[in-house]
Amino acid sequence: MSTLNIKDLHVSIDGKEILKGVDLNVNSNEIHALMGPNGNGKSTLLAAIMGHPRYEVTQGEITLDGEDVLAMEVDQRSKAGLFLGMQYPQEVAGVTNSDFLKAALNARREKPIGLFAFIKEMEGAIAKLEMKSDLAHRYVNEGFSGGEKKRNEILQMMLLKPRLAMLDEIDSGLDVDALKVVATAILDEYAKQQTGLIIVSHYDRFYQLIKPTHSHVMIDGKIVLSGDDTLAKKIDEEGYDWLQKELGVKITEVSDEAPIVRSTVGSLGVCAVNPRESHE
Amino acid sequence: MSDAVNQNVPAIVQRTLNSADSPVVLSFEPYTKQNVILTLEGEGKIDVKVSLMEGSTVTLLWWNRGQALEIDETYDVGAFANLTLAYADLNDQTLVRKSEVRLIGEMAKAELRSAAVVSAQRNLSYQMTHVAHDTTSEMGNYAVMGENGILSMDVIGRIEKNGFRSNAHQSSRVLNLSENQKATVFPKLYIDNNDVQAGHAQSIGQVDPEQLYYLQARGLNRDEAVKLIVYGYLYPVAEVIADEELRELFLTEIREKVNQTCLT
Repeated sequence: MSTLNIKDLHVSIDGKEILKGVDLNVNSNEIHALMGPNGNGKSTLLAAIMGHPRYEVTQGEITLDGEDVLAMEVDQRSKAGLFLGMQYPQEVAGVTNSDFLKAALNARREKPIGLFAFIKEMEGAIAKLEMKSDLAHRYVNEGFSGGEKKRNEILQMMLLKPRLAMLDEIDSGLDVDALKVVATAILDEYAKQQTGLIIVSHYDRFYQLIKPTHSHVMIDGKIVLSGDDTLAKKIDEEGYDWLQKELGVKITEVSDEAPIVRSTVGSLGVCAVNPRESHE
Repeated sequence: MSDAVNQNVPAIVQRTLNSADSPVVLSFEPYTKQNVILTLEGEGKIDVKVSLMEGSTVTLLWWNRGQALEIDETYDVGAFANLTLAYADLNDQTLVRKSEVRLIGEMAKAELRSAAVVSAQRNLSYQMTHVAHDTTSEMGNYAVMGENGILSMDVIGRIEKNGFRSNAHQSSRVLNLSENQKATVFPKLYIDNNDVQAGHAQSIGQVDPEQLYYLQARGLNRDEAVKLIVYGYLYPVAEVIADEELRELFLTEIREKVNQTCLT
């Protein structure tokens, strides 16, 4: 049994306070739905738990089974059992998915995983997620469709077997059939590993499949309301306006922050005599 | 010293070279295929002269295990001959390398890829000279700059008067891992014929912090994550090698050397 405990968490990005005192407690065998309008701090909370370097914790604490998460490096948090399925998974050119996953698995093992055991596990997960079988040999997320990237996040979760998994809009980019496949895979892992889950989604159809045990609404950097799974349905039908009246909170929807697009290289210059079109 | 190779089966020939062997002369018979791995050792100057006779196909891999070496290579590529050169300069020693490929017969073709991890002084010059018409050259140079690395790299495409309908292309990429380094790339094209295609491209950049975070979030520590990124960065160098066994050997060389190197 694991417990993630968050107390009075304040987080800033570039000096601007985004989270203004979040309290949350998530145990094994619990599925927490985290809802709220865009730009109100849901992704920030997950990124701060995982330790994204851009997010500065100015106050409060996070513990996993009593261990101080904030004192850990990002990789230590992963090894401690935290997992974040990202909204915008990164591409890593030249590194195959299987090399990447092997490295990630070996990072948390004393002895490297045997090749046969690894292949068996990876192929099992690929089949379960109904992904193409060449996935192991493709470069990490490179040339993947949006849906493939999201499934690849769940694939990583299945292999790494976290104690607590956070899934940030993992359902966006998935069609109805893919949504079912992914939801089934998540629920099987949840049943098998007793994983605690925090799920951010805008869609009730995903919550209907996943069936959260707890629901929270986050507005302006605070959790303003917590309840059971009926909350997701109500929000899906009625939006967030009723909260404004009932709770007296002011809602400002901020357009979702665009992913930080930063090419690895900045070109110094390209010139050519009769250049070929595809030439780098 | 002269090695004449005349085999139909492209077995992998391995040789170790040091300055006592200089000058090294390699000659490949017409219409033969050959895969060669040359390992450099010791220190001092080594001259290497390679000729590919008409229609021969040669893949040459260079492992640099030497110290303070100065290498001068020239390649003469005959008509319809095909040369693939791949360099793995992954140690932390100084190196001066001058490599010139002369495409002397019509339809001759040469591809060159270099992978370098630089944490010492490196003066490199790669040149493709199109002497004959309808010749093709392609160069891709990938350098990773570590602490105290100083790289000066000339990448030269030269198309001579008789080199009509030739293609000369080059690209150079530099990845900086350290603040304390200096990389200078000089791409040059000298063209004496109008009926040609030529181009160059270069880029320089740092490891993307988002990419690093993604790998760390899966449990790789910073050093492991950087090494994986560097390995992926150098991977395209291996893509030029058609022979699968040879390509695997090249990738293993890159993986082992990158793992041994202190990059962060």
